[in-house]
Amino acid sequence: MLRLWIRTFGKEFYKQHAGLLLIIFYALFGWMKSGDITGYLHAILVALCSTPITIAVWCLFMFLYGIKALVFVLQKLSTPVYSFVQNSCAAKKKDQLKSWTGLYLILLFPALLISLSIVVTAIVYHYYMNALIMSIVIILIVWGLIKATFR
Amino acid sequence: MAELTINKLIKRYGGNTILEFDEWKVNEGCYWIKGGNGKGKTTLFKIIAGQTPFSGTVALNDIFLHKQPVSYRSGISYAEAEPLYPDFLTGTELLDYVIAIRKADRQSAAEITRLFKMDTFMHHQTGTYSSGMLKKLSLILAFTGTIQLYILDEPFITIDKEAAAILYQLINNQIQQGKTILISSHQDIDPAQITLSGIFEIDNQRMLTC
Repeated sequence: MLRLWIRTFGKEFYKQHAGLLLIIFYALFGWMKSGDITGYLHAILVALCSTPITIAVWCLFMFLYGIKALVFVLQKLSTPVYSFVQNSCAAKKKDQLKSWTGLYLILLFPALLISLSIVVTAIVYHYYMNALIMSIVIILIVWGLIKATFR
Repeated sequence: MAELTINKLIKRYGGNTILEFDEWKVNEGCYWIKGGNGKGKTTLFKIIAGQTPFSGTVALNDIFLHKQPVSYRSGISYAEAEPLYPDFLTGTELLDYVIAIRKADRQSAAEITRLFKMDTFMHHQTGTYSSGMLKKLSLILAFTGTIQLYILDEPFITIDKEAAAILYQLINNQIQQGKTILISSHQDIDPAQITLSGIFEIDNQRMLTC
């Protein structure tokens, strides 16, 4: 099932949002000299993980990104072309949950990658509470998306 | 043997009541559901397939849709009147998906594909299919796996005579195995091809026996 979800939802999502993601990436890193990127990325990660406000801002971004992914999936599901997905409701619940989890991990991949980097940086710099909050938020967002999609 | 039971069904779209009846029950065999355009045949099929919300209960062999949705849905196969698929997917990808979900026998699926003369087209993208080929693909998917209740919405439209004969054959095989088949069709069903266990008509939101 997951393979087909990636071929359909995953491929379409990145096709539709490739431009936006490239603009964000360019805005963040495009203007830098290649040698400065590592230091710049490190500075950003430390800044993001060091205060509750920056953690909250990033969590809000994650939440909005998650909503975008959910709206995309629900919109697709409401179209006749995607009515074949209804067949998946006959699969074992465990298999359905696994497939939707896999899909959302793929759709959220860019944001999850940065979030996990923030968690690791927070642990390295002993901001344990911030790392814990960030981890809980990531889990809650992914769980919420699966719950909202899974019928 | 399959038994479908619907109780206290109410289905509304906005303030418009499409279906409202107390009880409807069918056992094994093939049933023809008649009704003009907009009478609620497809809505009834979507309700039975668990694809649209409604008020009331639907059960297949005493397995209730709202209590055991996965068990209930695993016994049902629904072929839409006008099937559509993402045009970049191939027939094989869709068939593999249904085989995986229903834990179906690959050889039986291949045999049905061959009967419908679709085997050479299954690796093509569905975007290249004609409406008849899309219909055949949806019927191949519908008859893949071990199913108790088949719901075939206008199964004879867009397919040629040869494919219709194959469809009659598949339906008869399932009837002999004690399965239940619901068919909606504006075209007359040839009684020489299928023995119908009942004919119903949806009229004024109710199921009437013909």
